[in-house]
Amino acid sequence: MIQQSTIPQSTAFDSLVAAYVVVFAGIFIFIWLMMSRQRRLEKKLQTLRDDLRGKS
Amino acid sequence: MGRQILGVLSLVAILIALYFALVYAPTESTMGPLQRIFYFHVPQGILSYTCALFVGFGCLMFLVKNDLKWDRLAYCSAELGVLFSTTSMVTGMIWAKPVWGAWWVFDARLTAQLVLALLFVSYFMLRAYLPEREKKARLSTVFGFLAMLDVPINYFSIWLWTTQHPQPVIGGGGMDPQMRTAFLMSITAFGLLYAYLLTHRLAIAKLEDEVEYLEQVQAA
Repeated sequence: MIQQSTIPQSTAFDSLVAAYVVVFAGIFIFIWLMMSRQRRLEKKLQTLRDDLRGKS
Repeated sequence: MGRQILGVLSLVAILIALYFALVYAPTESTMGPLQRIFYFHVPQGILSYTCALFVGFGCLMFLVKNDLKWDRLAYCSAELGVLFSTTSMVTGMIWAKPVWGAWWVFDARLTAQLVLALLFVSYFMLRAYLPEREKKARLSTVFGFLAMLDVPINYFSIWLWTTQHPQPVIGGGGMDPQMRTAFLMSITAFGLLYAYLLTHRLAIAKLEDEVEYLEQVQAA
């Protein structure tokens, strides 16, 4: 006998969407933070190299 | 170049995994569509364990070799550990509310996962208070080893203690073949994403060390 789901369909769908959104939001925020950190570091590294080259 | 290919591959794999999880896999009879959270929740949990094992391995190798590249591996993995332990807990909570009627219960598995997340956070809190790079790497190994130690306790907690957490489906033999395929697809996709995020984060960590070194040279 097939057991019917006791959880209302709308609740199940809302929860499903929320869970997937949490995962993707987490990953995208992490990637965005990583990329912005990389850009900042590359800029800083270039400035430091230029400064040191100027000193020598 | 290799990292970009890995990034594209993981994106494609995640799109395929989404199709398998939401369309290909059959709807479970008791929980309905809610069960599909499992295809994303379990890989997040597995990745949080993987991160902890890498943190522990990095810490061990740093103590043995005294090379900061191993410390870089440890803290980059710990950052990813914060991400994946959080997403695994939040997706679990979203699943638990309609099924258990509560967002959270302090049972063995959930508590062990919370402890793992807190260990990752503590690892960074300790590092933030230490100014010297070498001291930072050496002392934070304590939390790295504790995180690694949490993994077997966390995994076996459902057999060792009475818990509300569902029993494992992997290796249990009770999974529908289509569900198993969707699950394996998810594991593969998130595994690729993990490899991409870790290699990218490691490259940034190398940049951070280079900047720190040049700042010291400039100050001298």
